[in-house]
Amino acid sequence: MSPLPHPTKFVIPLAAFVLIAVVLAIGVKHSPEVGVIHSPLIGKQAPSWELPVLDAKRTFGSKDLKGRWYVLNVWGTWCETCRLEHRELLAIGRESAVPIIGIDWRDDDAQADAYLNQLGNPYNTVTTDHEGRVAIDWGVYGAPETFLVNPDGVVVYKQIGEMTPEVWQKEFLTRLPRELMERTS
Amino acid sequence: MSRAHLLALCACALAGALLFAARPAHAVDPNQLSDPKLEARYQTLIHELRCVQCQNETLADSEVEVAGELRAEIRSMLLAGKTDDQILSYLVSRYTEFILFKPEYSARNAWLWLSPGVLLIIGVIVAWRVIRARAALVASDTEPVEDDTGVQAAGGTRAASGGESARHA
Repeated sequence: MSPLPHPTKFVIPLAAFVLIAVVLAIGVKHSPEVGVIHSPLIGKQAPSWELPVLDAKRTFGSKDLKGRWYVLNVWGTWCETCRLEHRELLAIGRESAVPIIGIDWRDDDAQADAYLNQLGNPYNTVTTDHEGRVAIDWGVYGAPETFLVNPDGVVVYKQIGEMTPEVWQKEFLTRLPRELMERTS
Repeated sequence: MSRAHLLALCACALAGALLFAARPAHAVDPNQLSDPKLEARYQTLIHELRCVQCQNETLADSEVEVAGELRAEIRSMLLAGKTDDQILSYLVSRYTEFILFKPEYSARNAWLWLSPGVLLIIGVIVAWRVIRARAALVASDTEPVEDDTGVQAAGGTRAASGGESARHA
């Protein structure tokens, strides 16, 4: 009968196994959601931007929003999830005092008009980004994406994907000053 | 030239042709820059950058709209005289290092860069020790057959003499 291997023979393979298990466990625990790129703009100055206003011969942008809190929603009539969150945007527009600015992304103006006429317009101002250059400057890679910007022009939060009542309450309302949380008038 | 040489040459040519065919950058993006130097830099850049939406494709290969917009942005930055580093750092500042197919070396990800080398060294050491141990076994096992029987015979005698001594005691 062959003698049992010396106990130290187990130590190295076991240590290697434990090491790999720990590394993989950390990897699994910290793995980002698939496909989500967290914005590097959070806590930084928002890009300065200026875009034509939908159905108006004027432009609108960061200059007009200096010193104000605002919600910036990137949407398009071609975007299915935007349709899903539209009801929530309308509710936010009704209930809170923070302005919602829309960037209609690579869209057709006439279709955007029809969409807003049919579903209601939650936006204080709708701007249009046909070539998507402002969207790139904001690090947008899909729609909808919704940013919260503070009066110093710093990006405070970014929601990637659908705006839900839960997201609004948990991530946006908690960051807003009390006077903007609810519409008083 | 021998047949084997010829075959090897054919295989290399075929592999080269396949590699070349596997880069259909122009098929997706017909917008060429007129300056060949800028065009070359543009091609290098879009092959190094990841499409942010279809995340396993390069910007060069991706057909989604946002990739086209990013390519247009890169072209206009090149035409505006921006350096490759300026363009890459702009895109990283908007989309994080995720957009780089070849991430920068930093203290945070150093272990990722170094671990293959460390694993290779460990593997070489282990392999070397195993090979040495086996070589030692083989060396002790290839003594002439007569010697082998001699050892057995000697062992046998020893056992026998051992037995005798036991009987003596």
